[in-house]
Amino acid sequence: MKKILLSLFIIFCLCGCVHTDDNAVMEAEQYTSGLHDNIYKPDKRSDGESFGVAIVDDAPSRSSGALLYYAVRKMKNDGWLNIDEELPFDPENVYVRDIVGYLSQKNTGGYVEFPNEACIYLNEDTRQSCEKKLDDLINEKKIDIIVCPGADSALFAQNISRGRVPVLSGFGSEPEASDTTVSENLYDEKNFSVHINCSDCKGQLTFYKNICDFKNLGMVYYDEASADIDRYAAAAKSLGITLSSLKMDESVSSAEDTDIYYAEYINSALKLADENGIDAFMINSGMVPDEKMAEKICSILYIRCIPVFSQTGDEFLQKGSPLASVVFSPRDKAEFLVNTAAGILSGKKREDIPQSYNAPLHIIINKGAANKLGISIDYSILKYADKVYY
Amino acid sequence: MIMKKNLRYIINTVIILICLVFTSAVMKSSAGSSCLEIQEQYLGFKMGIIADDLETCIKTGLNINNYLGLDQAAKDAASYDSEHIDAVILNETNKPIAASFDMAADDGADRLAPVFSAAPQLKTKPLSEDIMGRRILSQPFAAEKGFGHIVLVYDKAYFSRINTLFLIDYYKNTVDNIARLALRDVTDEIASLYDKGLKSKDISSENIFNTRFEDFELIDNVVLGYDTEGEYTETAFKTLRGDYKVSLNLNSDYLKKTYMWIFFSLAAAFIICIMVIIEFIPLRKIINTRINNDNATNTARTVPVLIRFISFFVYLAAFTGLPYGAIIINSRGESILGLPVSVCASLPITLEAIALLLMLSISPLIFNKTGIKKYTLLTGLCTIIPSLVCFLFSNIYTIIICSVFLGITQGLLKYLINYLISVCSENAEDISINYGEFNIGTLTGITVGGSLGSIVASAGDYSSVYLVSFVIMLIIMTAVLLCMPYAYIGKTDKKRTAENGRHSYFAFLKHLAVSPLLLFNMIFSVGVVAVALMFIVTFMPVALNLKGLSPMTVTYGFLIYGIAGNYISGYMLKKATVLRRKTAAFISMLIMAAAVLVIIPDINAITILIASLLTGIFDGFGAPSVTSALMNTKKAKTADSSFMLTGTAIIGGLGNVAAPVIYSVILYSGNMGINLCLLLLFFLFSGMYILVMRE
Repeated sequence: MKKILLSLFIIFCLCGCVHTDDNAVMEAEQYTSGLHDNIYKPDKRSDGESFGVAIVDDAPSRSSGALLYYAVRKMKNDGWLNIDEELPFDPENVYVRDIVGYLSQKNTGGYVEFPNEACIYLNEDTRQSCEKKLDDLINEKKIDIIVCPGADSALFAQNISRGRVPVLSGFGSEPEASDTTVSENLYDEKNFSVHINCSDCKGQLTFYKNICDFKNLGMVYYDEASADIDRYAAAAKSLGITLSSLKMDESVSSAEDTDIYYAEYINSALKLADENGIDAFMINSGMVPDEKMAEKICSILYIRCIPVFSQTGDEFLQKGSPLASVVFSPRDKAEFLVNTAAGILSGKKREDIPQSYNAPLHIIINKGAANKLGISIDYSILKYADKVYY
Repeated sequence: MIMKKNLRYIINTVIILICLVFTSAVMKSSAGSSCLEIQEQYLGFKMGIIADDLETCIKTGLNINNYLGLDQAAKDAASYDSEHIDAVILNETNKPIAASFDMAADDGADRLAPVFSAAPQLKTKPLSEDIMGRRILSQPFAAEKGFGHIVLVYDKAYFSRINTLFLIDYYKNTVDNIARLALRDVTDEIASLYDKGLKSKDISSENIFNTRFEDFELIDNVVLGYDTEGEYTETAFKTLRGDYKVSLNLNSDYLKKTYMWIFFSLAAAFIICIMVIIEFIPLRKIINTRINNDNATNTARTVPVLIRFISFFVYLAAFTGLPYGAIIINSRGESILGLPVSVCASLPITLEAIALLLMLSISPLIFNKTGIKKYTLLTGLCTIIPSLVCFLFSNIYTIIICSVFLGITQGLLKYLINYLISVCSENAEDISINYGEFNIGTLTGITVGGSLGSIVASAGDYSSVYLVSFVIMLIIMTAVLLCMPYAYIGKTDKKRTAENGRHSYFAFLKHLAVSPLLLFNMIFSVGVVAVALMFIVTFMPVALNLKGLSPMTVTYGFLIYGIAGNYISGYMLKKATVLRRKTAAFISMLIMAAAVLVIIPDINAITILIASLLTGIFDGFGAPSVTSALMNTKKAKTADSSFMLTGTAIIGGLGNVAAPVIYSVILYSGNMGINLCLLLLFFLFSGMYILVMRE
């Protein structure tokens, strides 16, 4: 009888062992143990003091203010800042100095502080004075990281820091704001990081192509870097799109008389239509600052049933370009900025921290123009869009 | 003394209390599962919206592996109850890339484990499955290199738990809450479209909302416009022209269907309770006799009751869990040794029947070694373990191993019952009475067990039927161990052995080998009856599951089967005394053929209920008629009655082995209609054989 009972017990145990869920538990444990490397919990300096953050910008701007607003919110959510109230600012109408002023008067929990004197606008003082201010902050060990929303400010900060304190530059996708303008040799420099949103060009073209299936995209530009021609060419190639681009004459592009400039711009666009057979056209950033001219260019190309897209800019949409994407999103940038800064403050090396990020495009649509061109826009795209014009 | 006097009241009170608790539990679980269903519809709807958004993001070139906004998408998916729902987003390689919770936290791995376990099952269609004791709902979305998935993990019991007696009110509140949430989602979306600048004419022209509600059965339609009105209405935005509204209407057909389902669950629970009460009433007599240590005559009178009681509970327990092994394997699409899923699904019952057959030969040896007390205890323990194991670790391996084990225990039990019948029967009339009680107990056990199993399965998850089965078996074991009149049985056994000697399984096989006619007679009578009896257990639940019919149909199938078997068959048996035994057996085979005939054109709730009715009549009327026709052949008469009982058990066991395979072939191999026609012809042929059977 004892033997029988023992056998029954063994069978019971064996039945229990046969179950396959152990593999799933092991897989989950393995996966989550790998996650700890990418989580940066709030930390203090090795001397027990809080980390100091300096912000160096070219000039006061709302976009930098919005970036810091969302960054502070994320730091609050992640535990780096202990503030027991909602930030008393409108993210669309706030400047960096307002937020730094607010934070410098608060007890923020001992992990990170924003000294009031460490908010530097390059246009507010002489360069020498700014240099001295930043150098003193570094020497007095009041700051442990410098965040620069703009390219010029990043170059300035790096020249002063010379590797003593990490400099974060970029957090954008616009070429003139980050990687293109910032000197190439800075990439190899110690303690200097340039961060960009890598999804813009390809994402933009993929999105446009999904809406109207064009095969040959035209662009008129005067500066390769500003128009980001190389990245658009690579993106177009990967999507099977021909990129027909035309560079305007330097003398025309720098001409004082805007009539000459626009006449040349329109002629170039029409030339691309006639000679290269483009079936879509993109207005690159900064090429057509005059909204009325943008409207005129659109109407000329629409007669030829060529849809016009805009690389960036709300204003073109209101004047008749059917589609545009705006890559700048302070919220996405802030998320990435905080993760990167937290990684650096936690002692991570630059090469171990992602230098680019991927965020959804912010889409603006002119449905009236799309209707005129017979382009039907899916409900899912309309829902996804940030703004719709007619 | 006081205890003895009040025994009747105590037992009655306990039975009534158990029935009340059971009825209330069934009501709560059926209302709870209806609440769960609509909540899951809403979760599916919400996941569908998020999946659409992700697909749009991906179309704009977004790489989801490096997407900053994905955590928010996961949080939105779990927003219905973020405290009790975990949402995880998987990429094309089933790697978690975002979650509504902190995956790196201490409990992160535990919360992710069910997702990893479900990952191999995630395909291009939504999944709804119970894995590692957690409910998994998934929604695929088209990504760059295949499909990613949004996966929700939660405790099903939490969302189906009802802590009030006002079940309908609770259900109505849940409906109201879900409808308002869905309306809020649509209204918010419309308001946001308007805020972005979209004109109302372009919003109203979109019919996207109604396609989105296709799988949301609770919602009939959504109407947008300035002048709309519906059961639920909210203003999305205001213009100079007036309020632009969103109206949502509930699906009244769906609600009616749900209320009917709750009502039918209650009715089924009542019928089951009545049957259980009827079966429990004689228990008092047994306990009284045991407590009073009554004389041999009174003890002998309790034996038929004990046999009925044991057979009722044995079959109640076995049939509560028995049909669900196949369904669990089928629904999970699991297989072993590279065998097709359909073959694997029939393995538990087939192996169980083989084990039963083998056990019939070994049980006497075990019995001789252990004696009745230890044998009964051993049988009880063997009976309990498989159900408990299947409940704790219900995967294909444990289900199959435990089915073999269940077969072994049934073999042990069958021997015990055959032993009781043969030992405690003074003469042929006693055998007939005892066997009759055994048949009634079996039929009621199958009826209540089958219905109970499907009620539990429809209200909870399939694996929980094993838990119920375990609890019932525990009750049987305790009751049987307490009620068995060991001394009386021991004395009678000695007396009977001295008079007749013992007949073994092998002796019967030897006898069959020299008497092929008896063998054929037994195969086409008792063997075919065994196959036919398995129709209700192995064919009906799986066929209904394949056709997507409600498990409630299975419950009523079993109930109609049992009622017909107990009452209509009883009447028919009385009336059939004027017929020749063989004619009665032939008619019963015609009834079984008719049961198959009605489901040939289509398997639906009505045809399956008619088939259940006819199978019940066949079971109650046909089985005794066919056995009687067989027992009255000359060959059978020359054999001893207990000898023939052993033979019937063996051939019946063989029929039980063949039945799951036969029904599995009918269900899964090509044209079911033709297969059913062949089965019908098989029953007709057997009927004809019995009619012309040589005596």
